[in-house]
Amino acid sequence: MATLPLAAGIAACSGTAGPAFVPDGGRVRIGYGMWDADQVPAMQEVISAFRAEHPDIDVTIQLTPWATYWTKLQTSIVGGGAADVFWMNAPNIAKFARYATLLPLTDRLARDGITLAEHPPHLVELYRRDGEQYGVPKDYDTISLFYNKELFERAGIGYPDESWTWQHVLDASAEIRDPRSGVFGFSAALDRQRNLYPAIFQNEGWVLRGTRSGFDDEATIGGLRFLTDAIDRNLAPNAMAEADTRAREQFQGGKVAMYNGLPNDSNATYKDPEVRARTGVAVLPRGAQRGTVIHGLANVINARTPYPDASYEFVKFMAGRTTGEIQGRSGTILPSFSGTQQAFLEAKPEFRMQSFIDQVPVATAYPASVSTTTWELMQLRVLGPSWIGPGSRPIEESAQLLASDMNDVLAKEAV
Amino acid sequence: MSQLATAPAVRAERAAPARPYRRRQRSAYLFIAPVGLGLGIFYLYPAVSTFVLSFAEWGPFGGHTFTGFTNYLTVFQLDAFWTALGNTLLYMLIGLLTLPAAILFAVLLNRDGLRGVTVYRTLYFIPFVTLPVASGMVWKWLYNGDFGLINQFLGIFGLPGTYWVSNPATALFAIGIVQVWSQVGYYLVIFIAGLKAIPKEYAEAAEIDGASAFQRFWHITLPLLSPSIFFCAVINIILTLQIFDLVYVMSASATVNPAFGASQSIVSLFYEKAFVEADKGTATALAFLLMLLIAGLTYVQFRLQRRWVNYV
Repeated sequence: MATLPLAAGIAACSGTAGPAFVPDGGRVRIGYGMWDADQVPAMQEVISAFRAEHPDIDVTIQLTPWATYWTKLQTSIVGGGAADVFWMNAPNIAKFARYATLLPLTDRLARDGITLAEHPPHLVELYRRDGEQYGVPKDYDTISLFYNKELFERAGIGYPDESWTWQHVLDASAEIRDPRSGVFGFSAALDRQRNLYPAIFQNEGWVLRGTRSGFDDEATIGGLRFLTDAIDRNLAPNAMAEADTRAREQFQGGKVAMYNGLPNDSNATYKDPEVRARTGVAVLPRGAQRGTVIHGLANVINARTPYPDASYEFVKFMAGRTTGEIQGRSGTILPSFSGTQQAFLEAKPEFRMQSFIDQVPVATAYPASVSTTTWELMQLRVLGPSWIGPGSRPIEESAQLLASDMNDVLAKEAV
Repeated sequence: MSQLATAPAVRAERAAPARPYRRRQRSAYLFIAPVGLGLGIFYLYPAVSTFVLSFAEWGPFGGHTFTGFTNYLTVFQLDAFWTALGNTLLYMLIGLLTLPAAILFAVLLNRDGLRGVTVYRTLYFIPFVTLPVASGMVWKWLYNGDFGLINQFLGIFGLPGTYWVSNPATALFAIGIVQVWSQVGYYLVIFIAGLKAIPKEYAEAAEIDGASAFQRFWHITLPLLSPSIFFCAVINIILTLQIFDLVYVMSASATVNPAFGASQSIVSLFYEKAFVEADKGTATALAFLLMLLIAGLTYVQFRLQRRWVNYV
């Protein structure tokens, strides 16, 4: 039914700058690069819906596991074999945009009258670099608190809710902590998106302003200290335990009572009926203020695709309501198209998934620059020694070191 | 006249064997060609271009400008490089344990009248043919601090365990030991072949002269095995200096491992620079420095061999 206005649109702009989409003498096959296997079924459904409108464009999913997604993408862009359309995230957008590896979308979107107004504005902004739109938001995420109801009941403590503060977390953890069975109160793992950034923002700290690192700011250090203190007081597993068994697995195994999770962390938790029954989801407890980090993926187009028009049609389609609805219904991810989140909430009625949406107003954007990957690796290397528990390097010292290393990297970016 | 008559004859005599020789040579080159092409395309060309490009700065998506020794200076100023260099040399030293272990097992397996030798040999060889990634994963489970079998085993004797591959103090050794475990079977096979080549008469003669089993091993077997030991030492050092997959699987692949820096090898630093940070200039300089290190150590070994290797 959308074919007619679309065809008119194509006819209208075929005389203007840039070639409009003309089926390339028959079928065109484009590749769609992504990393999350959980989302493959929903994406297949999106592709089917897209194919109903564009029978001449075949879309093949190219799934690369997260661990090698970026290395492979970067190499294949150089080598010329990368997917035509692929997932982009905050840490990488600035670098990919600066080196002109992505197809600019501003003119095409304007031509089609697409304003992306239905997507969270700071996400749209995130994928706009130097006035040029490179990506179209696909989904978004904030962080929420997953808790184990059984462990709370056993300790005789009420479930976490929006009234909770850091002190509540520490007090509850002291009650729940059981060295004999190896049960901890909460996970304070060295995980930037789930733990570091929310704690920093909740303490009014900051990570990056222009080309300055915020890791030497007292407020930032205070946020980090909340995490390292909990480890030093033996209320949370140290980084060695977290490295051996990831927080989500510890939580599913009933070894930690609370952990900070992304919306898609709920997928594995929901799958196991036993774990599902004992899991609750709440907004993050507050520190000096409420806070969390917000991030979202976007669909971008490879600048070197032989089929820019077909790729654009696909990305444009995915910016629309239908894609949001399919993603929401699958329950795997929180779609960014406004008004399509309801289906996501209904997919897991036992969990209070609304918590993720409730926190959007208090969320801070995921910090990123051109060399994000480099200074993110530094965080791990430099902060790690403060995450070992009693006797490890004081967090003040590690944070100062990190700030100076990070400033060096950021200074080189400007050149 | 006679000179004229004989001269062509002589020439013909000389030319006759020359033609098949040249033809033989040509066919020899044909036989070498497949391997030579492979080596040229996949080893020589990349090695030379790595060297050339180590003097250039690369963009994250290709394109380079020559910058002289900048990359090498960057590498030398990198703390992570010196740590990785130290780690790599430690991996090498731990890796050398493979040789005495392999000799010991080879001698044990080479005893007369031992039954089921083939089974043992196969068992020892299996780790070597197993994918390093697969054995790395399994070992990572064994080493797991909370659920691992090693800690459970230690627990039986009341011994404290640790997070073997995540503890900065133990990670390198834990990984190094797996490297030894996975390589021992390969050298074992070489040593068994070496032992079989030693004539039994020497040991029998020594036995008659009253030499103990240890003396026979020390003064006869070991010196006669030295060519095999030399070969294995050279190969072993080259391989362990390039250790990567076990480090990657057991330590660096965990997104949050506090032992990440303490167990990183030069090749895994190279991987991080080249493919994670997309800083290929620094990475090529690293790769070339590693090549120099390997070439240097191999040269030293060849120089030293005449002092201890006995070629009968």
